[in-house]
Amino acid sequence: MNSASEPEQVPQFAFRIVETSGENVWYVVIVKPELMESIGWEIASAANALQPGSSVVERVDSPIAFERAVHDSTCRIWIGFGFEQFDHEEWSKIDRDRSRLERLPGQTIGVDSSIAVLVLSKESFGALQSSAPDLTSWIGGSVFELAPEAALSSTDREVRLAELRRWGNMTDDEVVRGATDGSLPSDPYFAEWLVLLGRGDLLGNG
Amino acid sequence: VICLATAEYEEFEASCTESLLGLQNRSAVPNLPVNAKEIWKQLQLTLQRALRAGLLKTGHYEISRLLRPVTESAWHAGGRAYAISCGPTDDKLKVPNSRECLVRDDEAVLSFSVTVGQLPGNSILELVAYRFDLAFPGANRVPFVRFDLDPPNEGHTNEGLRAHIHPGMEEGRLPSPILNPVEALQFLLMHLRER
Repeated sequence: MNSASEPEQVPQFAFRIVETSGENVWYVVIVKPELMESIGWEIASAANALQPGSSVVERVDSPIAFERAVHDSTCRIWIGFGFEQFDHEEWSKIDRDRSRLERLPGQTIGVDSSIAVLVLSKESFGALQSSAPDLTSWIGGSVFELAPEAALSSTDREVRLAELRRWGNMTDDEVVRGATDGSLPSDPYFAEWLVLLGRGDLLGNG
Repeated sequence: VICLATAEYEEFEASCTESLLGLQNRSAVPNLPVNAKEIWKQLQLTLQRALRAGLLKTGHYEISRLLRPVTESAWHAGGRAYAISCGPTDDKLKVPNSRECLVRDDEAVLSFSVTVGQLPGNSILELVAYRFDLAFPGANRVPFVRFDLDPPNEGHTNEGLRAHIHPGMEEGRLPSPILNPVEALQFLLMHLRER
């Protein structure tokens, strides 16, 4: 696992891979099994928003399909999912034939850079590590856990509320009271403030 | 200084309000993404694209830290309200410290707060409020520009100025269409620059 212990969000990871250069660079992202396909598409979508045409995503259902998909891709960033069915023998074969996974210099459109991203569950990454040591060494420390969404921590929420209290020179109780009796001054920050207090019910509809 | 409380003044004021309400009503309500999480993603991607384009001094990790995750609360009629914010509130905006604020390449400082609501059944997202603030620290003749959408049913709503722009004056408000938050952010990243 990479040194950043906190799970990344898709846009952060997409930025990371778009900013990466070099030939035959490998990443693994670890997600919950039910999210692998959607996360794969989300990464590609975000990467293409940052760099149009940079990414493609494909499901692979066999080692041969995997090798062909990576080897033949002309997109700078190839993203794959569907590895859950691969057993020990199949990962071992991929490892032995790993040269087939390399792309030729100049093969990718626009720039000399080729990146592969494997979207895996923890279990399938474990299978890869135990059965494909050389591919594991290609990947190195470039293993990232992706979270579908982050939540504001209670500490960060309190820091933000303190900022809003300083800005408005009011207490939380005064804001709630003002929203209840209609005396709250008109300002967009009060909407955020009420949501942070869990009192978005005091906001009207748009 | 306006000091007239005459019938003529009140009539003229009502006429102005009617015009402004007409302006807001004929401005199309922007199409929003399907949910708040998608708005958050688009805002982050917009900031990342601006960074890659050389329009931001604030780096990738700071952007990820400054853009807070979506916060959720109850809303009216059983719906949910969501808040997304980035950067500090106004009182801290005067110093272009790229660790604490979104700082443009020209040292202008950006912050924003967006609140949206969604009724049950995955209905369309509604804009509840936003603030996009661009401050120009230093000797600029215009100290800041701010795009606001006030929460509904508040004072400005009846003046037709619920959506407005502050052209460098806290008390000065120009009428504005309601903006898509991503479009507002794009505009403030790219435009309003000294030549």
